[in-house]
Amino acid sequence: MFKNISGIAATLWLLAAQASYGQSEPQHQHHSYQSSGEDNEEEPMAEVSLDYVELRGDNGGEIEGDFSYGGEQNKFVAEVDYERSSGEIEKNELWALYSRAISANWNFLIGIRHDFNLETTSRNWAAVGITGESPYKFEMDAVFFYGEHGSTAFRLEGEYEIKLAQDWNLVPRIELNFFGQNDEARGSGSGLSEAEVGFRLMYEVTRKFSPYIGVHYEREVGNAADFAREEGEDVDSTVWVLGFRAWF
Amino acid sequence: MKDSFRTDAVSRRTFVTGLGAGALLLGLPHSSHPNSPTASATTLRGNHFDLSIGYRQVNLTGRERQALTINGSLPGPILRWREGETVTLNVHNQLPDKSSLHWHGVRVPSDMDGEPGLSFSGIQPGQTFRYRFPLRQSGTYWYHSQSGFQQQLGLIGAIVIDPISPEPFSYERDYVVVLSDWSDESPQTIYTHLKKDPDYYNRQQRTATDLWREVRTKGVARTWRDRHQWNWKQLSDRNISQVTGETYTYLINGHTPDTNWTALFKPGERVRLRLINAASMTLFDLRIPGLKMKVVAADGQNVEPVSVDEIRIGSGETYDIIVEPESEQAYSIFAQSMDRSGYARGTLTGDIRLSAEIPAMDHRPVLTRQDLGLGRKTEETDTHFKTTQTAHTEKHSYLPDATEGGWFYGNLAAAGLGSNSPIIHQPSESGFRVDHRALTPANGISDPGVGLRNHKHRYNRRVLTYSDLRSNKPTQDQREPQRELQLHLTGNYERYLWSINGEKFRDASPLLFRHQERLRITLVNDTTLPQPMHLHGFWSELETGDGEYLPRKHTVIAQPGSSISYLVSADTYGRWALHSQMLYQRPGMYREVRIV
Repeated sequence: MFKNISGIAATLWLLAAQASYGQSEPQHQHHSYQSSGEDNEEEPMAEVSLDYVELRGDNGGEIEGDFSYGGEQNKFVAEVDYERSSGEIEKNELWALYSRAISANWNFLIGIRHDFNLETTSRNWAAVGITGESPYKFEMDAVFFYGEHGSTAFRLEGEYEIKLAQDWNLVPRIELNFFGQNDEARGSGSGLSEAEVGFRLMYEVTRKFSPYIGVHYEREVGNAADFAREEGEDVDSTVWVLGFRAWF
Repeated sequence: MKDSFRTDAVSRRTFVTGLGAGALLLGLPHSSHPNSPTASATTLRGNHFDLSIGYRQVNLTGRERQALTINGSLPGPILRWREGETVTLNVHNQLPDKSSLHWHGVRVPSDMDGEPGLSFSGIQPGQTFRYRFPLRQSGTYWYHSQSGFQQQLGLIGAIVIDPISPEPFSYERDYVVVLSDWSDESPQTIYTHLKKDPDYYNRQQRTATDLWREVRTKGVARTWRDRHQWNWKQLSDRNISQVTGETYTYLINGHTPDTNWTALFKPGERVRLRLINAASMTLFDLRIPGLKMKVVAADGQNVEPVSVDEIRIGSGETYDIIVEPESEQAYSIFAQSMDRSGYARGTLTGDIRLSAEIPAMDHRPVLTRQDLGLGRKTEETDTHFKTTQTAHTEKHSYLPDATEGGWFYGNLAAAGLGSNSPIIHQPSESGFRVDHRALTPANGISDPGVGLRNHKHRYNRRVLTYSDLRSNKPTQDQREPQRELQLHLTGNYERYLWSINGEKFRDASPLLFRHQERLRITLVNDTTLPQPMHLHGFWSELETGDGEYLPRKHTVIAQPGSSISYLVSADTYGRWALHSQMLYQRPGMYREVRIV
C-alpha cells in the first residue's frame, strides 16, 4: 500500500542527494575557496524540503514536499502532494511550477498540476497563485486551478509556527479546497468542499530534521458532504499523525 | 629622540612582542600541547616579504579541519612595517583556487589594493603576485583574503606600521590581539544554511514562554503594541547575529578560550594592546575586568586618549588601547560576541602561573524601536526630525531629479555636523530585495549600539561611542563637502539577500567620485542589523560634531535603523570597493567606487 509513498520518497531522496552534493563535507574543502568575491554572482541553489511525511491513524498518510532550484528571484519548483485515508488515495499530485519573487514576502507561481488516477482517470490543471508570509508571520499558499473541460478549483493553505521553546514548535495548519462545480465522481462539490485542520508538535533534533506527533481533522462540506452521505461515508474524521519534517 | 624611541621600543618588544611570546613563556611548545592550534604567528619585519598562502590541518575544537594559512600560520604572521618605507610583498598562492590579500586600512595605489575584480584579477593558483607600495601612515591594521569566503578559513593577519615621528603616548609592552571566529563547518555550508534558513544559527528566538512572561508583566495591550511593529513587518527583535556561537569558536590570536592566549607584564608597566577584529561575521564587545582601557587610536589613527570600560569592535575595525595593571594579578581579556552566544578570552598577567576568572556573559540584547528606524524621540533628535521633515516637504518638489542615485548638492550642513538632507528612499528600494525601510533613522554617531545602550546604568561601565573619538591632529582637508551621497544599506533577511539602495552589486553602476572632491557619504541602515561598512582607498572622516578634529576610520559601523555621515577626500584615482564587512552579506552589499 505504501508503494507510491516509497516511490516518491526515493525520488525526493535522489533529488536531495544531488542538492546537498558539495555542501555536506566540510573537510573536503576545495569548494570553499572558490572565488566568488570577484564575480560576486549568486550561484543557483537547490533545496529539497519534506514538509510532511507522516502516517495517519486511519490506515492513511501524507507526503508533501518540494524540490526547488534557482536564483534569487526565479525558481523552478517541483512539488509532490500525496494523501490517503482509510485505504483510499485522496490526493496524488505532482506539480511543476515557475516561482518568481514579487515582493519582500511573496512569490508568484504559475505552472501545472497533474493528478494521477484519482478514482478512474488522471487529469491536468493549470495552476496560478501566490505563496509567502503575511504580516504576523502566517505562511500562506493560495492557488487557483483551471482544469480540462472548464473545471475550476481553488486551494488555500495556511500554517503558523508557535515556538514553545528553542527546539519545540507547535504548528497549526489549515487547508481549504473550493471547486467551481460539482464533481460527483471525485466527490467534490461546488463552493467550499473540504476543510482540513491539523496541529503538530515538532521537536527539532537538528535544524534540518524535526519528528512530530499531532492530530488531523478533516471534513467534507456542502455538496461534497451530501455526496459522502449518499455513499454512506463519514463526512468528518479525526486521526492521530506521526511523522517528520526535513530539508536539505 | 627619534632613535632613542625606536631602540627603546624595539628592544623591549623584541622580547615580548607577538603571539609567540605567550606560548614560549608558558613553556608550552606547540607540538606537545594537545589543543595547540598552529605554530604561533611570528612577526616579520623589514620591507621585503615572502608570503605563501597555503592550507594545513588544524584542531581547534577536537576535530581536524583544514584551515588556510600564511607561511603555515593561523592567523598569518604579524607584518611589522615602518612608515615612510616602501614595502614589497611577494605573495605566492599554493591553493588550488584563486586567492588575494587585501591590506585593510592601508592607503595604497588602487592596483595594489588586492581587491579581485577591481584592482587586479586575483592571484592564480601557483602564481606569485608582487605587491609594492609606499607607507604614508602608521598604526594598527590588518590584512585578509578578499577571495570568496577564504577569510573565514583563516586568511587573516595583523599589520603594525611603526611611525616616523614619536607617538603622543608611551608604553612598555606591545601586543597584537587578533579576534576571529572559527567554524568547523565550511563557509559554503554556513552560507547555504543562511540562504535556506536565516535563523539556522539563532538559538535565542522568541518563545511562547517569553510571551507569557511579557503578558504577565506588561499586560496584553502593551505587549501587543510593543510587538506589533515587528510582527507586522515579519521581523524579529531577537535577530542579533546571523552566525553565532552555535557554530563559531571565538579566537584570540588563533587561541580558543581553552588554550587561553596569554600576555605578560610587570606591575606598573603600560601595556599597549592592538585590538583587531578580523572576524567574518562577529561584532565583539571587549573589556578587561578590573582595568580601564585608554583608547589611543581607532583604525590605526591616533585619537585624543579616552578611558572606557568596554569597546564594541565591528568586524574590520581596530582599536589601540593602553592599560596599566598595577599588581602582579591576572586579568581576563574578554570579548563576548554581540549576541552573547560565545566569547573569546585571553589573559593578561604579571605571573605566568596565574589566570583570571572568566566573567559571566552579559544579558542578551533585544532590538528596540530605534533599531527599526523609529528613533526614540529625545528633544535633540526631535528637532533633528523636524528639520528633516520640513526639508523633506520643502525640497521634495524639486529634489527627485537631484537625488538620483542618492546625490545631494548645495545646502549641505557644515563639515563635521553630519547630514541635514532628507531621508529619501530610492524607488529601487521597493523590490523583493528589501523587507524594511527606516522611516525616521536617528543619528548613530553617539549610539553605543544594540545591547550596550544601558550598560552605564546596568553594569556601571562606560562604553566607547564614535562621538568619543576626536583626532589628535587637526583635520587635514578643511574644505566643506561639495556633494553628499546618501546610500541605503538594505536587505531581505528571510530571503537572505543583501544590497545597497535595493540593488545588488552586479546590477548597480559604480559610484563616481570626482578626483580631489570633498564629499559626504551618509549611510542609512534600513536593516535591523549593525553593518560595519568598509571603504577602500580613502579615509572615512567621521562627522562627530567638531569639524576641526574629525577621527579617521576605514570601517564604520552603521547602526540598525540609523544613519551616519563621514567625509571623504577623493584623492586617489582608481577603482575601489565600498562594502559590508559581514562576509556572507558582502556579495550583495557591495559597490564599486570609481574616481574619475
